[in-house]
Amino acid sequence: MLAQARANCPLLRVVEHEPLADRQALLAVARWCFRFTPIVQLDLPDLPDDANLAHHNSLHFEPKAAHPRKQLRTRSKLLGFELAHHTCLYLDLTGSAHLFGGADPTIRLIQSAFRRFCITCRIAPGLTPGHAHALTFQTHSQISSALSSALSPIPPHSIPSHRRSAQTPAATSLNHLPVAALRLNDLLLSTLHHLGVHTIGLLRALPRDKLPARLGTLALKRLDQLDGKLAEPLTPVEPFAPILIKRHWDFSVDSIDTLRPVFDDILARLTRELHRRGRGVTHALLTLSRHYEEPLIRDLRFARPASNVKDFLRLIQLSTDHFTQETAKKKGRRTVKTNGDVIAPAGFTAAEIRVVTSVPLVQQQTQFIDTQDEDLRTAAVHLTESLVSRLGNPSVARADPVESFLPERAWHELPAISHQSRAHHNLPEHATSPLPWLDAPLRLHAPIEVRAVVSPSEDRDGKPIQITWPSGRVTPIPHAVGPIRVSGEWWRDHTKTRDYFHIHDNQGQYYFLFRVLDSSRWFLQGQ
Amino acid sequence: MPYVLAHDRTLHFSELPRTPGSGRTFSSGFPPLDRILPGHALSRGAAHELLYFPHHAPPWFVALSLSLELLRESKTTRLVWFDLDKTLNPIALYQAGVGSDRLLILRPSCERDLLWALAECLRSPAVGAVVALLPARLTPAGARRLQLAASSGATAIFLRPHTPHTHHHAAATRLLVEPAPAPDPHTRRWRIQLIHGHGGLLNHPVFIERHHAPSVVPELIPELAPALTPSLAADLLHSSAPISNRPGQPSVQTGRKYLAG
Repeated sequence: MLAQARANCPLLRVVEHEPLADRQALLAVARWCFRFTPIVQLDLPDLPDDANLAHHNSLHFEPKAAHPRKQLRTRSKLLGFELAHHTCLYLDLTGSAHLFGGADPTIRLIQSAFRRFCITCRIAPGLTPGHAHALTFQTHSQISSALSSALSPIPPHSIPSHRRSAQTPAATSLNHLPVAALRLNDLLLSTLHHLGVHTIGLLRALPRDKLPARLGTLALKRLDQLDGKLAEPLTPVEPFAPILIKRHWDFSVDSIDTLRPVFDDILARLTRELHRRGRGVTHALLTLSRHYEEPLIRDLRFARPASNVKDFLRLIQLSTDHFTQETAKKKGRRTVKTNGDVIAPAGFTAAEIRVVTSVPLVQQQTQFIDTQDEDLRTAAVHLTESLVSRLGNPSVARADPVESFLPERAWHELPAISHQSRAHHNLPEHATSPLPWLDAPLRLHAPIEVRAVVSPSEDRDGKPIQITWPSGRVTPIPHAVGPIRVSGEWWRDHTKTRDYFHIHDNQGQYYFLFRVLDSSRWFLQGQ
Repeated sequence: MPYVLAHDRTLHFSELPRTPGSGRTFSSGFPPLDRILPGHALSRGAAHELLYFPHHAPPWFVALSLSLELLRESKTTRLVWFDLDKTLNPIALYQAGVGSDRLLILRPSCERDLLWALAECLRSPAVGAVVALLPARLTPAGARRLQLAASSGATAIFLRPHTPHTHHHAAATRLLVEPAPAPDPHTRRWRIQLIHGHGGLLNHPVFIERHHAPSVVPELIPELAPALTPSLAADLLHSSAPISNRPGQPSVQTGRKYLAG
């Protein structure tokens, strides 16, 4: 099927469906809608039982974020998800619409915002969630007329008594809509299709007392919800509550060691909150505010989710060690001269810890675990965290092999503390041994062009017998092993074919050399 | 590992008795080198320096060989590699058996951070070996700090340029390593002498060699080739020796050899 689609449309771009990522993105959109009303409900299809919804505190929908490509990716997913599963957002504007000038301006505002985000959606105001959902199946003009008729004050006595209890005017105006507007499941829709019941009006015409027996309770429930006879309370999305613990004091403290009781207090509050939520921190920011100076901000990254005071204190001590040494040098300085020549006391005036990323804590049975191995693992985790705190995350790395024939692309460097999967870095889950036939050099650097004399000279496959360095130094090459031919990775716009050689000079120094087959230029790449 | 070593004559690795590593020492993997070392082995939980002349490249491969021997006999299999000039090729380590979960690459930005990170890694029980290129100048305090850190945990293999400034060191043994002309294209050779180590054979150079196992795929001539049994196929894949030289196998003519790829 995919091949046929690609044959019909060569420019077709296929993206694997990621329900979990879609769910997270939709949750972020729902939270973004909190600016219109505090009650926002997100209707999503059920995920499989094994799907674990990782809930990151840092997950926001920021339309003005610095990565438009990433945002665009999120948008395109949203679109697909919405079309495939009829995902709905319900916003209860009761009591909040007047803040934006009324219901109509609010709807226009939401429409324009979603258009700017490139999210294709249908928005309709309704009296009940079921009514609003059904109205999204109409055109814009039909929505307006349906809504006006729904909102028009029709005196009860003008409605015939036999219809007064059965249908409201708003519901009657939706009789021509398809039954899919009732939020029925696929099985029920298929049954109704085979029965020839295509519209809501036809479904209403069926005997009401026989509907549960023939079609189940869902059809009747949805009809009642459409008419407003059955209450349908919204279950709002839980608002995003960042974990931010802050403490101010009126005086300035010039030593971090003096702040130890403050850290104890902040961390006690933080860990209480983490235990209450059942979460562990993987990334947090420590900010120490200062008078008339830039605040001191330190990254606290944890290889394992942290939720106890000891782990936090260890990293805080390590990450502020630099600063303690700096302050020790400036021991005599007690004041700071600002631009306005105001003499202010130097030192810290506030401390805060903001949790950037947290994950649910998983209870683990440790009774049967080999304690020695566990101790070693814990020591490894502590070492990694200490190194990252002091040196920074990019300076502590690990390398994962990648299947590539080019030596410089045969691995991918990752931060030592990374809670993202290999798939996030576009790496396969299990990389096989790369370049099994190539004895890789231990040092690999950017290619340096050298001149080479080959033997036999008329042969393009000849081996180098002498190289001339950019400085002009000439090195005879008594031994060369090769060529090892590596074709370019044309799918990455790298079409050059290389011939690699392991060479030794007269002194026994080893070099890793290659020749670009097309241009016969020589480059030194490793030692 | 297919090492061949020689002092004045070339000996095959299998001909020499291997120095067994005790709990506190480990073999270098090169028996003649073991002979000149104090106690015929390198101490575990200590720093060892590989000195090189500034006009030569640092002997990274010797450092890797020593750390592999160390990790092989160690329970903690984590290797920390200080890659200050960002030239480490992790694939070489991967091919040597150090997987990505066992390797930690560190790039401190200044010398102070380098010494701190070295001490931190050496003190950690989770680290088996540390490989780092140290600056030529080292303060006595810094050297002592490293020495104390190494005595409490991991083994360090430091590479340092051999200059008049390398007086202060934290090493239990110091080896001067120089590349030596190789006898054939598939061999790399180094000349090593012990210049510091209590109880060792000082200033007694030995040569160590490493044979590349070239990935040569022999092209068998069909009419002369024996039936390719699974055992023969495995033998072909894992042996670099000429087929005709192997005992117990019929003499086979090999055709043009070419390198895969």
